[in-house]
Amino acid sequence: MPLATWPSQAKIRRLDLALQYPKAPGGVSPLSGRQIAGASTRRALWVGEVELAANSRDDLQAISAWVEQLRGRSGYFALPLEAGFATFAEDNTGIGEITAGDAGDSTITVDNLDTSQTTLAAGTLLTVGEYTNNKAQLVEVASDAAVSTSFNINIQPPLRINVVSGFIHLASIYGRFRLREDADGAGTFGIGYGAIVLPIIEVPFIDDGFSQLLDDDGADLQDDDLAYLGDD
Amino acid sequence: MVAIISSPDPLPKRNITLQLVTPTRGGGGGLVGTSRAFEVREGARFLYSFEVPPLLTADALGLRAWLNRCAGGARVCGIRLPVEPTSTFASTTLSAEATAGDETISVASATNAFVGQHMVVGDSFDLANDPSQVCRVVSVAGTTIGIEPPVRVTTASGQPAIFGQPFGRFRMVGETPAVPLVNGRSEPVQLQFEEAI
Repeated sequence: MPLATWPSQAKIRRLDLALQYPKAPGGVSPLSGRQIAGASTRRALWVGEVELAANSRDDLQAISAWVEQLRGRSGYFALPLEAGFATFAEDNTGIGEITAGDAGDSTITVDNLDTSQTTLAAGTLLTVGEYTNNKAQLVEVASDAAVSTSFNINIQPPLRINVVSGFIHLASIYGRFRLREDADGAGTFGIGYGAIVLPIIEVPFIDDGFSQLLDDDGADLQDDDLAYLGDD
Repeated sequence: MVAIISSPDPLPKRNITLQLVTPTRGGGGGLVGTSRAFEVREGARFLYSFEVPPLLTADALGLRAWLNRCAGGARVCGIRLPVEPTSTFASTTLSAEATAGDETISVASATNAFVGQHMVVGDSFDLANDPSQVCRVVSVAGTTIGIEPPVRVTTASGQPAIFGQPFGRFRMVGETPAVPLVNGRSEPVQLQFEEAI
C-alpha cells in the first residue's frame, strides 16, 4: 500500500482514538449480551476517527480528493499528531533514547530525554523506534512516569516487534492509519468552515520497511483476519 | 490474581445510572418473592453508566490511558460509586460472617447507613476476599442491614463493609470508548461498566 502525503489543507479539529483489542472467543457478557473485549494486548490497534477542518471550499475539495485516493484501502497515511491532541505538552524536541526492547515488553527504558518536565503523564502518545525506517510504533504512556536521566515508562500496547536501541519521539509524532471503512469524502461546508470525518484504523510499522501485520506466531496476517476487529 | 485498575480519582461523572439487573432464565428458575417469576438472582449484578463531562487535555489523557488499560475481559476497574445525598464515607466491618445467599448482614456500626444507599461488602481491593460485592441497602434495623442482591460469596466476619462512595469493581462493556479530543480539552464521553463478578 502506498503512503499518501498528508494534505496541507487539512487541520485536525477533533481526534478520537482508543486501543481496540481482538474479541476473546466466547467473550460475550451473559448479562448485557454485548461483547467483552479480549485481552490479547499484542494485537491491540489504535482505532477511532479524526475530524478534519477546512477553511474554504477549495480546501475542502482538496481534502476530499485526497480522501478519494484512500478508498478501498488503496493507501495509508501518517497522521501528524501535534500538541493539544495528546502529545508532549511543551515546545522542545522531546526526543530521547531507549534501550533495546523485545516484542511483548510493556515497559521501556528511556535515557537522555530532552525535557524540562518532571513527570511524563499517562495518556501521552509517543513513537518508539525510528519512524524514518518504518520500524516505529505508536504507543501511549500507561501510567505517570517520573522523568530522570534513565527511567522506565509503562506503555500500551506492548511492543509488537523487537526494538533495537534508538529514539523515542514525544513531539510531532506520527501514527500510520488507513480508512477503517469507506468514508464519505464529500464532507460538509457551512459559512467559513468545512469538515470531514474519517474513521481510521492503525497500520502498524512492522519489520523491514513493509507494511505488514503479523499474527502472534509471527506469520503474515491477511486482511481477512482483520475481521476480528469487526472491520470487515 | 485479578488485576484491578483504579480509575482516575476524582473522576467527574454526570447522567449517572447504577442499576441492578437480574437476568431471567426462560422456562427455568423459580418464583422469588410474590412479584417476580423465573428470576435467576445469582446472576444479579450492577450496570454502571455515566457521562464524563469535558476535561482539560491533561486530565483527558489520563482518562484515555485508564480506559485503554481497562479494556479486556480480564481487567477489572475500580470505580467510585456515585455520591448520594447525605451519604458519608464510612468503613466499618462485618460483625458476623455473611453467608452466601444471606439477605441481611451484621455490621459493627450502621450509623452512616440509610435505605437506598449503595455500599460494598468486602474490600474492593482485597484480593483475599475475592470478589467484593456492590449492594444496595434496603433496610436498616440497628446494626442489621438488609441488602440487595443477597450475599454472593461467603464473607468472613471482620471484612470491611463500606458506605458512602466506596470503590466498586467493574468491567468495561463493549469496545473501548474513545475520548474525543479537541484542541485544549475533551468532549463528553459516555461510559458503561458491568459489575465484575
